[in-house]
Amino acid sequence: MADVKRICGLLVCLSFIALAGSQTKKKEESLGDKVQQLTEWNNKKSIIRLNGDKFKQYVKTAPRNYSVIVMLTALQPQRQCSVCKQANEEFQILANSWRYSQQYSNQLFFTMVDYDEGPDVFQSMKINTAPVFMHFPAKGKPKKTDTMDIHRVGFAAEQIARWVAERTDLQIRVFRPPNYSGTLALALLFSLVGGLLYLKRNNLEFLYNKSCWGVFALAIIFAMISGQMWNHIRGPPLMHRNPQTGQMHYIHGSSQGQFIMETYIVMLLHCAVVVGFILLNEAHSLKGDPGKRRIMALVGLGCVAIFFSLLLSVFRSKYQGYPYSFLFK
Amino acid sequence: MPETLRSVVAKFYDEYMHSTPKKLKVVDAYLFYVLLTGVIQFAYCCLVGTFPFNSFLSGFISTVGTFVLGVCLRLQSNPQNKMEFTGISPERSFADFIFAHIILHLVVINFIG
Amino acid sequence: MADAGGIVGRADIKSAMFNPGGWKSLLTFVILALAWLAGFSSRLFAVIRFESIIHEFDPWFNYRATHYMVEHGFYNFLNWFDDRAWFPLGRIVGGTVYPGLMVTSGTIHWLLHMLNIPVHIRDICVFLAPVFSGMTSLAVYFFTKEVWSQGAGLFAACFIAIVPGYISRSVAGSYDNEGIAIFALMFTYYLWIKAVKTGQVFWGICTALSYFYMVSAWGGYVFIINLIPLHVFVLLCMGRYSKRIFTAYTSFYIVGLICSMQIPFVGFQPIRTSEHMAAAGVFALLYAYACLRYVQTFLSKAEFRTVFFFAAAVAAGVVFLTVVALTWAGYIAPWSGRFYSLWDTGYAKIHIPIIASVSEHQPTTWVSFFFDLHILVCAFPAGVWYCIKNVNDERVFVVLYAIFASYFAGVMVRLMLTLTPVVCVLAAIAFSKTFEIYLKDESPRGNQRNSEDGTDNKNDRLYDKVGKTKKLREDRPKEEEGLGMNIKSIIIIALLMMLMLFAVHCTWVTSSAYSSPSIVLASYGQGGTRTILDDFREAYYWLRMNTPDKARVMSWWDYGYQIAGMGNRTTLVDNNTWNNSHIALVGKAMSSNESAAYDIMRMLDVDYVLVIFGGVIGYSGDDINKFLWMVRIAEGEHPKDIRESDYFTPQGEFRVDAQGSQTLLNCLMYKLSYYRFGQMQLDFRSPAGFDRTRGVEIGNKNFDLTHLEEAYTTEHWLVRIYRVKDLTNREIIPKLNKPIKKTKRKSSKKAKKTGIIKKKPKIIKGKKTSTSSKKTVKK
Repeated sequence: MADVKRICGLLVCLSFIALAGSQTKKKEESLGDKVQQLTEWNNKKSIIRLNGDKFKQYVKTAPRNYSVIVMLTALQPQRQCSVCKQANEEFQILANSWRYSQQYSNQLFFTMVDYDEGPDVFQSMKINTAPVFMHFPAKGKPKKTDTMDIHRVGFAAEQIARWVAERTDLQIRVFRPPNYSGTLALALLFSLVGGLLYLKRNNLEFLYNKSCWGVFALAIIFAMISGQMWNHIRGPPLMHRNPQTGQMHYIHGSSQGQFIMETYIVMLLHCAVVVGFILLNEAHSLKGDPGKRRIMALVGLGCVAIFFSLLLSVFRSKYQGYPYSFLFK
Repeated sequence: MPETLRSVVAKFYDEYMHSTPKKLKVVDAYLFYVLLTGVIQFAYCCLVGTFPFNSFLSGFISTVGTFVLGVCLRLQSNPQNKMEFTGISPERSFADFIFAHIILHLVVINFIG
Repeated sequence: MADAGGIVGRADIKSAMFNPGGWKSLLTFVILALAWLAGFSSRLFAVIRFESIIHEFDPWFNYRATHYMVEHGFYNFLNWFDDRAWFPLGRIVGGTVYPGLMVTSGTIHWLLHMLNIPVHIRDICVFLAPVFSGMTSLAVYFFTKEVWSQGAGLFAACFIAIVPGYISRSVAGSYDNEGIAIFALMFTYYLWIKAVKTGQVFWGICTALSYFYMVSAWGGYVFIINLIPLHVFVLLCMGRYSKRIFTAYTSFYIVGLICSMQIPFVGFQPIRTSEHMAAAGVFALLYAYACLRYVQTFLSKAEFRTVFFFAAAVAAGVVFLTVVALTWAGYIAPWSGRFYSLWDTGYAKIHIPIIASVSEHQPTTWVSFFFDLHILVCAFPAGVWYCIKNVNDERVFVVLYAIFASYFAGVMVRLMLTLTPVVCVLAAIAFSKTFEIYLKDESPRGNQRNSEDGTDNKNDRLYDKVGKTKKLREDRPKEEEGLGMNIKSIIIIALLMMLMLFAVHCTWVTSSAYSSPSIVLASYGQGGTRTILDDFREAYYWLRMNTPDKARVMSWWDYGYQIAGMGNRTTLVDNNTWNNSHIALVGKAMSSNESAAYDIMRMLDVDYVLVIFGGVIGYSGDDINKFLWMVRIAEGEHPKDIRESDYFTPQGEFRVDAQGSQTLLNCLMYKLSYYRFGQMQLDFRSPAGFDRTRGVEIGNKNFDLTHLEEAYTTEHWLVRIYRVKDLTNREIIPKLNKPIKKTKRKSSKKAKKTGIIKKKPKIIKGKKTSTSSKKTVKK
């Protein structure tokens, strides 16, 4: 009996030791295993998706000899996070650039955790905004600067790459896939023009129509004068709603900015003044009864005067301290 | 294609010899000479190198400039073109030619280093 | 007989007095003279309010260069190597500057001195731009006269004399390239139009000479050398080719090419860079086209077609391949960053941050257009419309100029200047056309004058045929143009009022916005009292009088030209900004803490540091407001040492109060700006050390400087100068706090003796020693 007990005890001990051994082996192997597993996943996709458990296993627990960049985001449509989608695209570009760059190694992995797949991660890190970019270094705990300050630098792929370079000393050259939309648009334009010319090849008179060219030239000039290039470069909003009073503002308050609506209004006013001038001049050379011509001349003058005064008053509202006005204040 | 091209060139040569007045043929000979000078200069540059680049450039532009001004003189002296150049007598065009050459060569001498 | 003679004589005088040609020229002359006078006086606001000094930053360098040229002669100026700028590097002034401005002032100075009129070069420099503005009015008058008519020309001259868009860069005291460049631009364009109209080689050569003057004056000559070929190309496309264009363009191009290469700064660029390739391409194209047309006169259509296809294909292929091969091989440089950023507007912000940071390079809002051009910007599209409707060769040029200039002005505020002349011309055309229609005396009065001799007949008719008079009267209104005098007067008066409003606006804008010499600040208190803050000049004069001649002054690059011009001291970096690494080094020194900055300053051999601080008076253009740009530029070159994020609070704000980041509160710029400021209380309501510009109380107050000492602070604390202290005589090694271990000293009496050898081997005669390794003496 005692023998059996002893054997049992020995067996239990052995099993414990074996278990413990396997556990330690698991732990020892797990570093190589982890890296291998991560590399395998990385080969399939540039950004490794993690859930709560995987996050704990691969990112939180030691030992690690690699850094991990984690994007904590919420991409499900019901979360309605448009910023997350944009940040995701930029992050994807960066991860792809890293994956296909020459310095690609298993020192750095790009991962992401979606809120719906790993809410515990968000809770454990005490994060309640999205997206958040965090860097977990190979050794030690993440510091304050290991969370990227999106409010200041934004989430453009180049900025994320700079932050990663700061944290890990690994320079990643961001390679944006060539944007063919510009070339495509140009090709479309040429084919349209070519098609038009071909269709009208027997009757090319429209090329000689001066009014046509006149309208074309004036359109370009109006676009430039009303500040469309500023809109294109700075990207202002269409209009602005005052949060307190709920009133819509079409015209920017100061002379340093403008809204898109405002530029359209100004373009229309310029157009009206020019039309008035042309009417004024055409009234004279028109053949017809004098009453009509008189009315045309007066309408022309009215156009010029009234719309110019409107333009002046819009200008006054933006430029406080301007003392002059024409017809209305 | 080459057959018709040769015949076209031959026809062009014949017509040219018959219809252009003597004055213009003299100018054309002068232009041909300037062209030859230009070719020689360019060949020299390709062979030997462009070391004093400003000298090469000033010489070459001087050649091209004389060619251009010669062409302009020929155009303005051609009685066929009288309608296009209203009010410019051949004497006036020659005076312009001289003036242009003075300016051109002053600058060339300054640039030649 | 005498009576007849008298009548004839009076008739002669009468006809002479009524000679319209004579009156016309007199009127033209008077109007142009008045325009010149108006333009000149409108630009004198700053001189009357303050004094005649050079404004801003860039003009100080131009003035210094002109002064050098007047002192040392033209050849020494062309070969000048300035060792008092960019301290250890120096600057080759002769090869990096457009000499036109200096040569113009120098020539005027020389002429006046030859006539024994002693005018100081500074006065010539200050008043050069207003004088040239009058000449610009003349050039614009001639240009518009060629394009449209004399009346439009007069309108245009008056417009350009007072329009704010041009005044902004040519006030008295603004001694900069644009002042003479716009005159050269419009004069070149006038000569080009003359050349195209007449086809004479004389005008082509004159255009080339004027183009040479423009190349020597301003970097914007690229606009001319691209617009003129574009004009020729569009004329070719429109089928308006004529031999006149051929003569004009080819003679202009070749002489202009070699003339433009005479300026050392331009050098070989006209045949090397992409910006000039369009002109060469059009030259080749024009020759090919002319050749084909010439051959066409000899051959029939069929034969011509074979030659045409063959020749065209060969020629086009050869040219295209040459250009591509040369660009790829690197002989032709691609578009330089400055001009490329006009097409790809996002380029500069990413790749060349210095270009992006200049406020003049920002895009233009519609308010700027209206502010600078008022009613002209509303009227000029009408002028474009009429130019297109009544098209000929010259008007194609004006339309092209308008379209491209408006695009460039939309992209960069500074280029509003190139748009202004064409806006004046086209608005003048629109107004002139309108006024011509509505001011014209109508036919009835004309009939009366013509029929002066036949008045008797008319009266007879009226008296004889009563019945017919009614018909006549009815006919007359129908024969009239139909717009009665009332309407015409209303229209004329309305337009005149708008033009008067334009004139008033221009004067107001000039007086309030464009007449401040930024070197002298003025603040207006209650009741219109004016306090003048002359701190800048006070500081520079102190530098000039109280520092050794070879002293080096470190400051941010904005003030380099002024320090060199007024203080006459060597500077490290200045407004030329040609060496970004050097600027980054200065930025790194300003952003690091005092010890690291001291190392950099010792390396660069700096004696004085100059800082602009606006906290006492609320001046918002001081160095703390520019500090982030210093950090960004330094970070671009030294990303490991300087990080922009270090200077922000954890929430991402830039603050100088107690919540500001520690790096910011200990960096050199902060310390130099706020040294001793913590002890200053501006008024009893605010605490000590309250910064008026930022509106907060500063965070780091009572600190001392170890490596610098304060040399001078101006009256309103606007400029602060510090002296860099030399290395200390002794290196003070800081004491380490090592605890002193007390060890027991074994004192033996034997050991007290000096000269004791320890571990002395015991030598007994005859016996071997235990540790002997030497040879034993063999017995």
